[in-house]
Amino acid sequence: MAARLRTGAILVLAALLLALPFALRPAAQAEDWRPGDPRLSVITPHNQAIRHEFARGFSAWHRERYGRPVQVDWVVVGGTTEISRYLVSEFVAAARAWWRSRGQPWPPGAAEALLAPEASARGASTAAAAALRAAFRGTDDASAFTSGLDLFFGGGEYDHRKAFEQGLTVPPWPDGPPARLLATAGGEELIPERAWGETWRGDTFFGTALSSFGICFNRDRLRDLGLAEPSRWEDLADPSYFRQIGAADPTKSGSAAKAFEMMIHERMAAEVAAAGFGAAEVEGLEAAIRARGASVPAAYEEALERGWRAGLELVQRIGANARYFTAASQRVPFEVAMGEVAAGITIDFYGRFQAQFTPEGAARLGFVTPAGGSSVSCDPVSLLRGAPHRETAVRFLEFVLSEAGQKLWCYRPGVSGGPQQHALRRLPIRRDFYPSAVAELQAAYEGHRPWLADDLGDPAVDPYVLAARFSYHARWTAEHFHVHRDLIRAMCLDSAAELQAAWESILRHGGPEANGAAMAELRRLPDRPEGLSWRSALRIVREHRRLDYLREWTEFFRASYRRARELADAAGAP
Amino acid sequence: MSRRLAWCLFAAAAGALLLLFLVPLWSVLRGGFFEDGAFTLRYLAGVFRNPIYAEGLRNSLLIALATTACATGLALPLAWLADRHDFAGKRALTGLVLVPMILPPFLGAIGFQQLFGQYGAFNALLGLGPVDWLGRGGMAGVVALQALALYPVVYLNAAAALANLDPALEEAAENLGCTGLRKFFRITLPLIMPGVFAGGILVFIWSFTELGTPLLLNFTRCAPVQVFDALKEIGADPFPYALVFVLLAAAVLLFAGGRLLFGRRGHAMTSRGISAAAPRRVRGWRGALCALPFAAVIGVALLPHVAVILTSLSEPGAWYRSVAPAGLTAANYAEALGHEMTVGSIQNSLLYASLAVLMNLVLGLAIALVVVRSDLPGRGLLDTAAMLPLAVPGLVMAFGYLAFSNRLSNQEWVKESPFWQSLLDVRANPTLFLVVAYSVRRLPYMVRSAVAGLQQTSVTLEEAAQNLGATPLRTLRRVTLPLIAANLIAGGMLAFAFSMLEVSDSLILAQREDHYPITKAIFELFQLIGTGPFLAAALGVWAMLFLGTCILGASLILGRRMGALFRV
Repeated sequence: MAARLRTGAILVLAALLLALPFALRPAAQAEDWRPGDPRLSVITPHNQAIRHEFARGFSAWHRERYGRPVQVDWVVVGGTTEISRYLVSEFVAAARAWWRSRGQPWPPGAAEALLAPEASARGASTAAAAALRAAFRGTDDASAFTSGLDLFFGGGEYDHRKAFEQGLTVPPWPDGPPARLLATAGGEELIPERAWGETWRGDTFFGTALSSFGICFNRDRLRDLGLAEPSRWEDLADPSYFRQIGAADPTKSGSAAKAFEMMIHERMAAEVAAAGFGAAEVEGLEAAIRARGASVPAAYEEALERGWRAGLELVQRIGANARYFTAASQRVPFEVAMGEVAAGITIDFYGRFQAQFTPEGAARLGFVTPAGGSSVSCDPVSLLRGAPHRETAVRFLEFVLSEAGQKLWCYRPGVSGGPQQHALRRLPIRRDFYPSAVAELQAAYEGHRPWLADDLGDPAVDPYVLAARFSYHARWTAEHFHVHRDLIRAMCLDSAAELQAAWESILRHGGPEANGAAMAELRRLPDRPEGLSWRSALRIVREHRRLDYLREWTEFFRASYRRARELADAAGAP
Repeated sequence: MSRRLAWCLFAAAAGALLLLFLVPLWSVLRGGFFEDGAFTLRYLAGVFRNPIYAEGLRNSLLIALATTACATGLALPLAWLADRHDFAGKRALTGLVLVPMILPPFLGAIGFQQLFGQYGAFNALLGLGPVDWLGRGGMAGVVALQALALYPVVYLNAAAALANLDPALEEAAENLGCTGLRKFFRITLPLIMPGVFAGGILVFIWSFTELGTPLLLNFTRCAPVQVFDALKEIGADPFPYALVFVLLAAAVLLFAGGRLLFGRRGHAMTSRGISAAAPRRVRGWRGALCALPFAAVIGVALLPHVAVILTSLSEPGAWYRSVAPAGLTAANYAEALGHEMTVGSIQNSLLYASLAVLMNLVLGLAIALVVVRSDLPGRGLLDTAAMLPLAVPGLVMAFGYLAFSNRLSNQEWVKESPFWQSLLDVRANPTLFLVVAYSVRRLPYMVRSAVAGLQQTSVTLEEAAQNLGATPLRTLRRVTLPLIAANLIAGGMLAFAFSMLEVSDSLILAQREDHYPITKAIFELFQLIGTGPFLAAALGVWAMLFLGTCILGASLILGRRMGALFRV
């Protein structure tokens, strides 16, 4: 009897549990979309809040203009690395079926040839592969082949540029984007093509929102550690931050890699200035180098080399202090809010968002974009090759770049033109959402201002102000993007245990100043496969296989760090 | 079993494994062996030439050995206590003992941080200030956490093995003067070895390839994290596939070695259950002494679960420098359970996981019958192949299925038929591929459980049935299945629970909201900045409670009907 009762109770409990979500289910909203109305298929790493608001906003906008609502089918497969792999997998399969249906054999190395950025690159070595590549890149017709997807929305400029180089995306407008999307009626530019070294729109991708990297910090933890609030990247090199920093992983995210590039770039700028080269002179020198490959003063190049080394040392010190480098980018602000780390390197809107949902808000949590130390990058949208709903997809592009679409990023929920449920708190890309010296843009900003979720006019928020503080020279660091990524991996991630052990020993025995020999050992750069410097780095990665130089570098750093630790221990021994 | 029948089962099982597992797997791994269309061993050589990866494999092996030893050390005494004694609170404790394995994904890390973080409950309780417990967990921390999460797998298999034990053999030993620990090591342990091996090898391979715990403790020097890092790296590098291949090969070798050492044919018993000796009733302090180890192990193992429950009830950010959240709220539940994708995701998960378990039962039983009841030359190979899915990183398998579906869905006959599209194109409907993915990835549980059951059951019972005129199918239904039901239920429960909590396949294959399983819904909620982790915790707790109730219900209902099953 008792057993039967128990069993009955368990069954009732299971039934109640199952019923609970059904009871709480929101009432089905009247759907005005009917079969036969347009659809759109969009692959995105954006979260559910953004997806919800843009699907709803676009459908309403479309109905108003074209008389019919649109159903947006979001395809969500994870972050940008997964999207990258997914797109490649879809396109290669579709191209293979298409090619074979034309009676052509699928040649060896066809997939590599299809995706190689240059026609002459590896893979397209055979005539058959070259023909396939040319045919693939010359076709943008869903009836020939299609991935089944229309748009790639969100991610970073790196991911969209890569998709473009792989031939997966195409220009949406044959004659370029409509002028009204890029400039006001008065001719003022709304979306710059390039801004301070960053590309905000290309032939196939268009930035829709902006973001920058900065430092998120927990004021309680800083008080515990006796630290002042950080305002520059160098502050994170302070020994008191040992094992108290959370960082986004530059090997797994293009935008995190960009943040580390900016740290290095900033140090190079400082060294160049210290060597007596003024801003105007630097601009002139760089322009001359671009124009005719002119010879450069040795002192200038030496200053850049010193700056590059100083930048790497800064990254290394932050790496020595880091508790982790994570691929899960929201982890950083969340753990800062919990006090699990004292400070973190994170994207601006994560930092701002987290503060909103933290009790005591700004009293506990702070966010700062290091002055002159961060560039502002964009979150683009691209049209995919062979889009099955091309016309609707182009309209979506127009919508997200229009004033109506841009409002969704930054308006408060519930206000006219704003999002319905969620404040997205992202920074729109268009200049007419920010204060400006141009009267037309300023007037537009004043019109938006009462409805904004965040004060976009705050100089600490305004990406146009933040970006302007930064003078970017692509020659210094842009080509080193992959070098930096691999170097940081070898120097800080794959050698983390040895680096931290050495750093801890140095700190225990009086700090960097008292441990000159150990610090010199710690700071050494690899001498194999050949001596690494700013000037030799590009040659090394070009002439050696990645697997080989990565292994050499990692082994070098681990050995150096072990020696540095021994030196510090020996110097500190009684 | 006749040789013809054995060959039929062998061919069917091997064909299924080939088509549903090895072909999709190879479609991804081949990337590590081809360059510009030409075969190359450069990447594979790269793994062996690089001491960093050798270190990763070594560390993973150490972690797996230590975790298996610890989990077995925890589970075996508990299983024995529960089998031989009746004490106050036994029902609740033996039900709870399985709960640690149903911690929903993504949330364990938050649970641990709320408890042992610098501003966590433990430091607040003891007034210690911001002591960093998780920062230096290292390998020992990984082993401890994994053992506490995985001991139920050994427990479940050991409990089923003990339930199968013929007590007459132990009584005979006692009559001959073999008692106490000597009896346990000389008689009981050898008799239940198939079950212990079944659980142990699952824990071993699981912990050899486990990703979540090392990531939580920032321990990056083990093979699974190295594979994950390489797979997640920007830029498509074929190297990680070679690394996965090495990881798989290592798992195969270890499994084969383990099988050779511990997994030899068990001692089959002609009677079981029916002659089970009643467990000894222990009352008073002796009863409490029996309950104490259960309470201690469960108490520690359930700490993260308790933390996740408290997180789900916490106002965002309100559990901070305090023993418990400063502000409690039910709003997280209202929002998470009332979310538009929640109900659908629950329905989907139940469908996917149930179908996966059904498929597992058929495939697992077929493999186990061939492995145990036949003398076919390739049966060891089949057994090993069936264990492999446990060692493949989820992301790799998911991309394998995706590529497989891509190939099929681009065939003209699929493109032209809505029926085939909805079956074979994951973009249209991922049900078939998710069921296959869940089923294949959880197949090792079913195979190990069924193999252990068959090894402990004497073939003479089946032969007797066939001598009396029963067909092979009737013998299977009326004799074999009832005899190994405990093992099948044990394997089925593990397969169901872990299918419901499956992450990688769910994230990649279920691409549209209509098809999300519950793990993807939890992930989607988790992604919402600010409130996300709290909403995810609420939905995670719901999943935990539901799975817990199912497991408890299953053991109660079946336990009553089948007498000695788990002795619950």
